[in-house]
Amino acid sequence: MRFSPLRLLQSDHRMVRFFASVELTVILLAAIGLACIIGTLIPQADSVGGSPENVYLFYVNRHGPHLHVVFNTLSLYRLYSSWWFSALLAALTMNMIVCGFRRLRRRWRQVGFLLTHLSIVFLLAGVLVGLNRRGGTMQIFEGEQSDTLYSGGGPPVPNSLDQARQLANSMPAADSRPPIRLHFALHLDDFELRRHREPLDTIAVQSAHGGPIHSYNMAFQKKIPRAAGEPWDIEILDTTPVRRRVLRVVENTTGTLEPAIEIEFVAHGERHSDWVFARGDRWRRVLTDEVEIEYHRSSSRGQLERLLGERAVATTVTADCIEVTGLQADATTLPLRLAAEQPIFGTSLTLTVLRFVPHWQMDLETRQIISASPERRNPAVQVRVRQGSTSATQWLFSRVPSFHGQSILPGVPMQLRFIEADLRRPHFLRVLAADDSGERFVQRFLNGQIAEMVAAVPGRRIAPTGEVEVTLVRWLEHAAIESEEQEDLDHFLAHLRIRHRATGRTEEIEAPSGEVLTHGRLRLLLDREYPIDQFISHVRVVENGQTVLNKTVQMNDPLKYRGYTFYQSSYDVEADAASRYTVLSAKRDPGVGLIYLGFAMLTLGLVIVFYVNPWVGRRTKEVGSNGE
Amino acid sequence: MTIGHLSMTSFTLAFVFFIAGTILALAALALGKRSRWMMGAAYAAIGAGAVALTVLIANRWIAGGHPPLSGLFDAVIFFSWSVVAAFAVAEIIFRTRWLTLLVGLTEVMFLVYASECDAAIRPLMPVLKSTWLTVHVFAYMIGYGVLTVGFFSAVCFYVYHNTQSDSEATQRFDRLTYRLVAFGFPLLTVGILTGAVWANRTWGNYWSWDIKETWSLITWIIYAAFLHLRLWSRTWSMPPPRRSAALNWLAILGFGAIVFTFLLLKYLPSAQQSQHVYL
Repeated sequence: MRFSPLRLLQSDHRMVRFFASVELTVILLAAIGLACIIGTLIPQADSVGGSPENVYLFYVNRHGPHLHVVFNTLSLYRLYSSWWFSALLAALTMNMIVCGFRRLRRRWRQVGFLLTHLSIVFLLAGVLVGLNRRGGTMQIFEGEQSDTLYSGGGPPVPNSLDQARQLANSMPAADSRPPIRLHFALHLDDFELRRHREPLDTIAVQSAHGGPIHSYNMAFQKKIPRAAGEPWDIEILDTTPVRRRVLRVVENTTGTLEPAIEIEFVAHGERHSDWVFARGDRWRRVLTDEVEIEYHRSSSRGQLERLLGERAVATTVTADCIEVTGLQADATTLPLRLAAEQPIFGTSLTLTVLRFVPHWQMDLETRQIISASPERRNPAVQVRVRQGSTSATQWLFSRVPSFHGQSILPGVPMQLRFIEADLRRPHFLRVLAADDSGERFVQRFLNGQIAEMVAAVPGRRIAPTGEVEVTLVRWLEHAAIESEEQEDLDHFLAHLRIRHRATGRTEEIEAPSGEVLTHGRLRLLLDREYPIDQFISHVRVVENGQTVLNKTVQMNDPLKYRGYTFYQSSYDVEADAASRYTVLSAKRDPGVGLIYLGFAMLTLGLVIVFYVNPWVGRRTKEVGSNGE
Repeated sequence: MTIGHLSMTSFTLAFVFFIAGTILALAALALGKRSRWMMGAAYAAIGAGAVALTVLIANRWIAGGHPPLSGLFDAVIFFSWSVVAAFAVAEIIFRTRWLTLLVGLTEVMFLVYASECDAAIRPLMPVLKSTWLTVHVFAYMIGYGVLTVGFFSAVCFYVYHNTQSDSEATQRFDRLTYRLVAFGFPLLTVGILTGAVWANRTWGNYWSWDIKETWSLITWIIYAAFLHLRLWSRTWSMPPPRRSAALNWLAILGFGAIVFTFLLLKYLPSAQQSQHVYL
């Protein structure tokens, strides 16, 4: 007899009947269900993360060393991709296929049954094909492009600390899958963190005893009866904006020529407006600890030549020095030169720096002056001033200038000050403008070295600099400073009426947002936020040097190109709106089509089995009974 | 009346109606046939509670400009609505009285839970802005509602089965349990599948064995096992009521899995890394 698998499947052999049986289905479902539950009770390796040592210690702390090895050998830490779990799924698929064949023979019109069970086969096929999937993440900085996808793999869970160390040493080779080089690149034009224009004002109430906090959207909720369970009714009468007086630079056309630039910068998610004058004592502006900016305006380009050609700037503006005042009309500064006796110009006095300590402290036992640390926590210098044969020594403290600074020599009205070096901030922006050629540039220095020089254009960002984003807003010829009232968009004032339920006693209070207020046994917090509306990456696809496609990638709106789909994944959360980069996750899964087909079939099949068939069944029963 | 006021009023009314309905149903069952009107009043109270919940949901939807499906409060309210809606439909087909009591009790419990939640209407987070999200949540919420009433029916079945084993009531509850599971199962499935489609559009991965995904699958497996076990039980050599008694507990276990998946998941230690634990 020729062996035919089809005939075997349709025979009544006991084994075949078992493989096609519903009993097996129930057993397999129970086994798979149980396995799934175990996978949720034992944290899976991918979610633990960290170095192999980290992973090992995590599991050993939970299960002890012996049970850990047992679990690891049984693949319980990567349960869903383990061989035995896959075997269970394969067995279930086979169970369905065999059962399907046998039922086909008898009742081929069972469309619903066929669809539902065949769909699962399709799903499994989709998963198998999808094993070929490729993907990874791509981090792109604004103005740059990337064509590489990086993916972290899943290193094996070690059974012992030694094994963990071995694994760690052989990483990253043992760990990640190799990066994928695409035949095209994605260029990030801009990352936008868009917030809602309308603020979300909420009022949160809590009883002073503690307990649950209830918040309400103030746009919708004007009355809160029995707030937080306390016998007080709160009514929101109105909210008024908070206004503050700010300084602003304006173009004063009738004023004197005072060139300036208006800038805007975003630091730590907050937007600030500022200005820099081309001359005068405001010529150097320190914006934050990281950034400072300068504006040079010249009538001729020639005067700016030297600056334009600079590839490095001094990283210190001033050095440590001693400032002498009181003796002459102007102050004199003397550099800090240890042990050198320097004359004070225009007088018969000399000054010698005897000692410098960065962190001045007096040892109370020995009464000696020591430096408590090498850091400049309390810098001080010991100086000796000499006039002829009289001299006096004194300590000068830069952080406490008035101490010991006066009348070091009796009869001499001299004041001494120890001034510390003023170091440049790491990011230094220099805006240059030449009247004759009309050229305007921005130089950006990082730690004293030139990083870039671009044309300065209003509205354009002149520095993406780590956490600070600086934009040139406009040029001013006759700048003047004005003060004006401005609405503080981040705060508001609410007018509340609070009424005691029992006594009827009513109070009206003004509640500012942003601080916890206590009213009797009620605690209130009014808050304003601008919720995030969307994360948007403005991206261009570049292939062979040409821009092929322009797209905005947002959450729930990915970019598809050449089989790959790119999803908005992450950004620089700390920098918030000033985020300079975006993280896209990419995937190419050839099995997705089969999966979706399986989904459609399963849905249709279930609808037929559980909705259509019973309805048809009832209709035929009615017809049947009518026909009797 | 402002939106917020309407919201609070409808919530309070729903609460009050459901308590009234529960008490009336309890009284009606205790007094037996002597009080037909009381059961009618219980139905009316539950019905009024359902209307109040509908108003609450519609209100929050219109006010927020998006379906109210983004926080724990919204989820619990929608679940409560779904249970009472499924109950209403089941009642039209099968008249039962015990169910009224169980539904009333459950509604009260869930509304008490909801009252502890933050109910502020907020705009949707970017990850939730998707039509697939709406379909996903609708499908499995309605599925949950139907399967919850199936749970009640299974409980009633066991009560009757243990007191009057072969009665007509036992059979009716057995049939009702099956019909409800059979109706809810496709909805649950569509819920899981649309969730997978949404996940694929958002993160590029249709299934990541995330803890909430896995537990929804476990719930699905329990009900799939129920259906297949029922098929198998036809070959058993015991009388029908005993057959049903051997498998209706799965409808109860399934409900346990639903509650776990919906509300208790966050207490698992491995839940910290889940994307789903917004609630």
